[in-house]
Amino acid sequence: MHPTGHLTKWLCCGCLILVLGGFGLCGMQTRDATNNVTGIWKMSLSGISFSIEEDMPAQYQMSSEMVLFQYGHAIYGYIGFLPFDPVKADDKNPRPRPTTFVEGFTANGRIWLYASEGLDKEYLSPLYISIVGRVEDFDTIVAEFILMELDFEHNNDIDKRLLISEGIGATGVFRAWKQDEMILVTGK
Amino acid sequence: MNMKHIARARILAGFLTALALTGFLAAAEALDTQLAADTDLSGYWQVELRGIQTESNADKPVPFSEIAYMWMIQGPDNVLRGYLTLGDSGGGPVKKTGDVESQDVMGYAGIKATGLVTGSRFWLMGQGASHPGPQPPQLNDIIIIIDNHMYHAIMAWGVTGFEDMIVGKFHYMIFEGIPAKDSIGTENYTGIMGTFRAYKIGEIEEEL
Repeated sequence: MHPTGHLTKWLCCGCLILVLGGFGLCGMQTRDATNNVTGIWKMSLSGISFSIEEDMPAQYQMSSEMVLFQYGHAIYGYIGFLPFDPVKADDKNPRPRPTTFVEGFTANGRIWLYASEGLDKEYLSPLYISIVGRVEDFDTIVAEFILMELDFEHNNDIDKRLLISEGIGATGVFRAWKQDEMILVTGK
Repeated sequence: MNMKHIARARILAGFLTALALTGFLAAAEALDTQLAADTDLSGYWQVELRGIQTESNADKPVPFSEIAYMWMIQGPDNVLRGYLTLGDSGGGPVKKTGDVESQDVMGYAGIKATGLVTGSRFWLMGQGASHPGPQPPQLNDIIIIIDNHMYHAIMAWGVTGFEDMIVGKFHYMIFEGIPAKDSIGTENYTGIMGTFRAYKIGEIEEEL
């Protein structure tokens, strides 16, 4: 082969390697990006749980949906874990109990979420969950969670806190997959 | 090696085996005495926190190390109530008054915490708001604008070592800024995660 042919061949190979490397770098960057979690997510929690009743671990499984809105670093949203117990006032129609509220943020390639039934409330929430992990390819969250789930005994003494009839602590792996995108419409 | 050495080796091996078995049985008996329902974590605790701290407006995470203090009272339903203070400047002043029975008893500043004791496991949730640097009100001020709002949320779980030690991991988030302000999304948010070791340093008096 003519020397110029060799040169052309090696130049083509070099360019091909550079292009592939560029694609690879782009791919790595998208794995670290966490600024697009706005959407409707299907979520799954699996791990171990412990109850106040006994010291034996049990398998913990939970599946639900959550809605997240992201503004810059800040994240707000809802989790649909909780059953909708109707709340009835004296002379009003039953209305659903508020859903779990999520507050979070992204920092250094990680996503941080904290949820309870209303944040910073003056009363105990039936559920608290803390989630720390990563967003992969904009549509998958892989994280670890710490969770507390409480059932209350109702009494009529408002001066005393409600006793816990059942308490569960759980920890394990949190996964979520984005189901739908959402378009935020600014208020007028 | 002659028969004398072999005999000595046998005696030594037998002695070590007996020692190991005795230790194992003693440990098993000691562990067995820690019944799930008997774990009482009420008291004053010193907590060593280690991990990483990452901020939304920073380039990379930094190591985190802190000494915290907490006190907890365990109820008959295995629920813990108390407060957690991180270092000298961590946490916030008690602002919310949700729990009447443990509020204002000690005038203790910190993050209000609720926990669970599930046998040999420990679970904790703490949350609270604070305003670390409000301007002192002036004589003619009509409206005081607080422009530095911090919201703390911490969760932890661990394994108890009898009733005076806990080892586990934690997530701690600090949200800064004012909700619904125009700058929302650009404020500083801090996430801290890692492991903790807690040691009981005192008991709570009965009259409290």
